[in-house]
Amino acid sequence: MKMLDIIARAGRSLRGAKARTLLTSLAIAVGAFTLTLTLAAGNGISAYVDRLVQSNFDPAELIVGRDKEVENTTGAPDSTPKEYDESIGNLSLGGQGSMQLKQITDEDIRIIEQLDYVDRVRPNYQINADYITRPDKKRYTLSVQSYNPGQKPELSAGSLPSSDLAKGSIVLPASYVRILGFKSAQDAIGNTVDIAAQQSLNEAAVREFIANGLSAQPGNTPEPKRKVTTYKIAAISKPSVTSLATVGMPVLLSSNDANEMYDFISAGTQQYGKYLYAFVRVNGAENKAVANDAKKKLKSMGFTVMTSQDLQASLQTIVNVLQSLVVVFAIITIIASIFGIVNTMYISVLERTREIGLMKALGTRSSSIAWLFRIEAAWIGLLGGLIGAIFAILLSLAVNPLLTKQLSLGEGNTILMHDPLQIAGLILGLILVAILAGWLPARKAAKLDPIEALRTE
Amino acid sequence: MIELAHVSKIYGKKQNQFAALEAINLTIESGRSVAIVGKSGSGKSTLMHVMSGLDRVSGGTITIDGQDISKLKNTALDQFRTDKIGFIFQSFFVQANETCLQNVMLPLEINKTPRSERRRLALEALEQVELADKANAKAGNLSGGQKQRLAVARAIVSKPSIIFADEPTGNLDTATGGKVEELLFEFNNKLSSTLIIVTHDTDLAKKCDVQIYIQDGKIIKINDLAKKKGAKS
Repeated sequence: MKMLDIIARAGRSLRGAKARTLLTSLAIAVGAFTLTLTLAAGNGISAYVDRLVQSNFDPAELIVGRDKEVENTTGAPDSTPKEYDESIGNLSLGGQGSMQLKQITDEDIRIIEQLDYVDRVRPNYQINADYITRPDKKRYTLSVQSYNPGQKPELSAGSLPSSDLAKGSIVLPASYVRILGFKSAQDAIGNTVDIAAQQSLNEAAVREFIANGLSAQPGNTPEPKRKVTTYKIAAISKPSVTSLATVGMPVLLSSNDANEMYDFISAGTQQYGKYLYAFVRVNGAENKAVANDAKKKLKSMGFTVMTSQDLQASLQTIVNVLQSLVVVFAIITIIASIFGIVNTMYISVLERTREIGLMKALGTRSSSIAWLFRIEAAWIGLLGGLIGAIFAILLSLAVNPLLTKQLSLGEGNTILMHDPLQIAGLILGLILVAILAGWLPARKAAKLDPIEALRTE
Repeated sequence: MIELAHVSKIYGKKQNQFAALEAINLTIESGRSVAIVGKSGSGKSTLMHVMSGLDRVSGGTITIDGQDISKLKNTALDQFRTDKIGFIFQSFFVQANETCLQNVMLPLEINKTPRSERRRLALEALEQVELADKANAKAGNLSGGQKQRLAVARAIVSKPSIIFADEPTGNLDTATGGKVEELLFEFNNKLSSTLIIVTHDTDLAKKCDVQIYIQDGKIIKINDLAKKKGAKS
């Protein structure tokens, strides 16, 4: 018998038992539905993580520090207490308590800058600016970052130079345009804003305070030094849905300005000239091999390094763990449905003892009979896979707009992304699983003795 | 030509052994009609099974058109049945849920006749048993006599050299049974295929060229009408 005829015949006999076929397929369809959705969610979240990392990190930049925590991508700090090191000093982490972290210094940065494969080094200035304002306007809080020419933000007005920002000019997030009294983003370009920063309380200030012979009495507390700098607005950045900044979009300063502000804030403290980490731009580090090579070299110099790929991978790990959990459940469902197929196929063999006997008597080979039942099982697998996948796609079409809105992913981005090739692979897998499930019943059919099968009672 | 030499068929093991066939020697010329007659349990069905390659002999050889089928492998034996044998059973064994056409096309599917040929050949066979108008009707909706005629069409569609009919009229009344008998002998003449009928109906047996009487696994008598005719002349 030709395979094509076997396939057609198997399909025909399934059509003869519609309810049974459909019910058996539905069991697989549940698994297929779950798997299709899980894979789609995995695709969507992976794409989201990619966008997240790409919009927050320059793929060519390596995060370089001195402390092992820099390489800790899981976010959970080491639970064993560390020995106190006098030379490091204390880094206050606000409400989270204090921590001793080895920091990278201006000296380190000069060394890194001189490496031939390094393009540019951008220290991570921890700038706690006080407020941003304009004359006759209210004061607003802000976060400040140094501008990375390798990763231009999307602009709603103005333009950016290909190298660093000119000294004294900034990129202002669009959210400040209205509240600072500009009519539009375009209107703000070329205008100025004032940003205030306050010097940390340092040893010198405390000494000066004591020398003045004042004790801590109300109204007599020392005034911290504050500096207000006026900057020119070079561009307005668009709000980004994938920004990781917790306090909204940062105001971007040129490296010089950022350095100046940080030096002012940290003057006289242990933090002066030290940074938790620095962004080291390596030529061609978008390529994983180049990035890993640079990472190796920097590590051999005693630095701790994380590439953007490492970061991406660590975010992806969380996604993968969650995804595999759901996949395991889906696979259990499919295993359960295998028993359904085995059962259905055994019934099918029993019901068609006569037919099998006749076909064998007329010279059908045992292997053809076996394939007849395996293909019948395969049809059930195909049907179940299709039903599951179609329902999953329909559900995605229905809920994707809602999810996109709820998770504010931005126009055109979806969390459930179906890959036709993946779905085809899944269905093919289910067909194979179904064939395996049909193996024993098929063997029973193939071994049937035609004389016994055709004995009339 | 069918030649059986010292054919035996033994069931069971050791003390429980039971010989269904014992030392059968038989020669059947091609194109003849043969009746194997005996009571139930006499071994007539077993004889048909081993001759048609459905069952294996325990001893002896069965040579059909020069080929010793007792030595064939399973797949070769399947191929032998596909190529040479047509079957008609007492209980018809037509697929009730399939159309008459699909029923008749089954042997053509098995012997890998090209798709385009199958329909034509099957319609031809249905026409010969006067069921052409039922081609697309479900076989389950046919009467008993029609079902057996459908089975005849299925047996002749692949133009076998031997047709085995196991009590072909056993489940039919005299009128419809007569029609089936008529068809069987007609094809026996027209296609010059050998017809072997297993029956305990002596009236039907008498219509055949040769009657082989079997009892307790042994041939007790062979009546060859043609030989007798030959002897007279």
